[in-house]
Amino acid sequence: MLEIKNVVRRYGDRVVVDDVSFDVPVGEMVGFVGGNGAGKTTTMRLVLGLLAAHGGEVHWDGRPITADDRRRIGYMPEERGLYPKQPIADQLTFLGRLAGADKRSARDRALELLEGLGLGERSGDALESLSLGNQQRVQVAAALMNRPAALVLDEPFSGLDPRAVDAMSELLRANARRGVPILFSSHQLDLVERLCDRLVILADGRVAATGTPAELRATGEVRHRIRLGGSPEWLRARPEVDVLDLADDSALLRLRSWTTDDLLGEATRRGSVRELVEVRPTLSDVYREMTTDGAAAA
Amino acid sequence: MVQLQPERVEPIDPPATDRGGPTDPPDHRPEPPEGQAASGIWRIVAGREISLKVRDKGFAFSLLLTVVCIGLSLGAAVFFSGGKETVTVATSSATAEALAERAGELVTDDDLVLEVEVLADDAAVEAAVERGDARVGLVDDGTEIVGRGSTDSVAAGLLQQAHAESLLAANAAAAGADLADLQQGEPLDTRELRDGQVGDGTVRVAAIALAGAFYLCALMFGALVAQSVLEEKQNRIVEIVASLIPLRSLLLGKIVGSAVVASIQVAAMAAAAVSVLAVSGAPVALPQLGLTGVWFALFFAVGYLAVAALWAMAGALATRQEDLQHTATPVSVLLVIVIPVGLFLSGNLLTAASYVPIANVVAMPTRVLSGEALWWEPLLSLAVLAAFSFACIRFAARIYRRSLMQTRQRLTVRDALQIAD
Repeated sequence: MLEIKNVVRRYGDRVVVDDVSFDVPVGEMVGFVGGNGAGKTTTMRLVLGLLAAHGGEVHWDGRPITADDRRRIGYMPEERGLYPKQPIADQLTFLGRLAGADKRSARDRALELLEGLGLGERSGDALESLSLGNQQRVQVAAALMNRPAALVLDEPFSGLDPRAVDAMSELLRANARRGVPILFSSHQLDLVERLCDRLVILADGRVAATGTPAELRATGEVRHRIRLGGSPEWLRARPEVDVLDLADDSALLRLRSWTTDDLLGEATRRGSVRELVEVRPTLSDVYREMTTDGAAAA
Repeated sequence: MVQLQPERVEPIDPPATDRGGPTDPPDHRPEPPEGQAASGIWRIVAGREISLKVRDKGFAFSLLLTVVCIGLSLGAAVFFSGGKETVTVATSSATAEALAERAGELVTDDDLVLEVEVLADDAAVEAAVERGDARVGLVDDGTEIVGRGSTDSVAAGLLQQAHAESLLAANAAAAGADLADLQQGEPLDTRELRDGQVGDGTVRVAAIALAGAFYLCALMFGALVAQSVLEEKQNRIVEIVASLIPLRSLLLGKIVGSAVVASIQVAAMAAAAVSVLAVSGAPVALPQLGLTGVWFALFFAVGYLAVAALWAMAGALATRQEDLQHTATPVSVLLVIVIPVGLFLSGNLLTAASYVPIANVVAMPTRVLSGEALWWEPLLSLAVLAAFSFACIRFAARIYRRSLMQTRQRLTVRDALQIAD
């Protein structure tokens, strides 16, 4: 298990990662979400030791992480990183050798991975000659070269077409099923919701919330939509509700002191009620709410 | 802000059946060797840098071209300077012919031949000089030298000497004295202080050649190091590599790899130069030249480590190709200082320069060639250079490590030093 404990990172006077703590348990996929500049990439770099933490610790298997532990983490940086002009098998072999494998087994592993990703016949081609989707696959192969004990992937889905997104999702799931803890960042909340066992929401360098998608959604505010026979304009005057949105015959409401029965009673007293539904927040709603709160708190 | 404390979720499903390929269980991977990370891993990087370069057709071509160019230009120089020069003296009378023959006997330079051509009359002699068929003419029964625009000073000097001899003989006879008696006594002795050593002219030419070779190779291969570092920074592979090995190992591997390739080029150039001179039979002190070549290759290899480290630093500070011309200024300045060392320095200044790092790459081999350097001097100077290179690599590694994650804008050395690790 990968544990991030109260890590802090500053650039000059600016605190970009502020007391961040969360776990990536064995076999789980943890989605790392947050706006641009929230500190996701910096946190990932701290996990990998690319930057030194100015406070806090990263633990692996219950003890402070070592350089050798870090070499067993498969990593994919946000801006894809491989040599464009070199044959793909050669560069994967090079990375394998840096991770400690001998030349032959690194080469075998590279070819095996490329075969598994459907790129076996292109192993001698330069990276830049492949399509973007295939380049992404090579990037994944680079992260998997070392039979990683954990995966840290910065925006692995960015720039992928829907089919490639599915393929990448399946690949991550398969690795998670085998017990690999996976931390990945993404802006695509629907994808994160579908894939992840849990989420960490980062806002302004702090953890705004962590939990399973269901848990996070449950923290969001439930609202109600009511559709009437006549105009819902009168609702504006009622202090018992907040009108969030108003149309010709319907309104989106936040109930303050009223219950749904109170609302229904008053509405039927004034005319006919065609519909009253509970509006559950989506993960995006919760995310927006939390990151706004986080920004306000910071 | 909402802070949730969710329940711990237990690890899910046990691993599914092994299908191999991209989803191998993590516990099958080989353990990375402990010690390799710190000590030997730079060799893998260096090996890759060398093999990439050596397999590069452009490198092989430029190496071949350089060697061929050196061979051809040196060969041509030796060929054209090696031939004998013939100066024709045209005459038309027996007296003049005898004078010219005597002048021919007085030639001491092995490479000069004075040829005498007897023509019908003085007009024919002047016409031959006018056409350029003869360099000088001796007319008026051997009493006047004619040249076309100017008179050939060597031929004229020899003719004057022969004429003075004949005057002296005639005057001595008239005075009743014997010419041999008048000429009694020892002629002036000649002694060269640096007998058996390389002449000053050769030393100067060699110094310029060494300075040029160092400057060109350090610029050419060093700029490649900067570009390669920048490329790795730009396409972020450096992040992946840095997650596997310490950045200083990456830097060291790149520097050493580049140094090996650059030294191959320099050694090939030196070998080409020395072998062409050996084959051509040019009058140079070959053992001395060979020794100088070996020392230069050694100094180059060690000095280049410092240069490559500074080039790598320039690459790490940049974020785009265009930034390199700014970030590479310090190393460019450092390289330019070797040019005046080759062109102008001699004496005490050269001795001083032969202990100044980078300048000594050219200055000390030059002193070895001229025979000034005592046996221990190159060793001491090399040690100074090695210490300088070590310090440069350490400093560059610091800048390199701190700059590589900074991709927003070009940094200065001062900026980089202020960045926390």
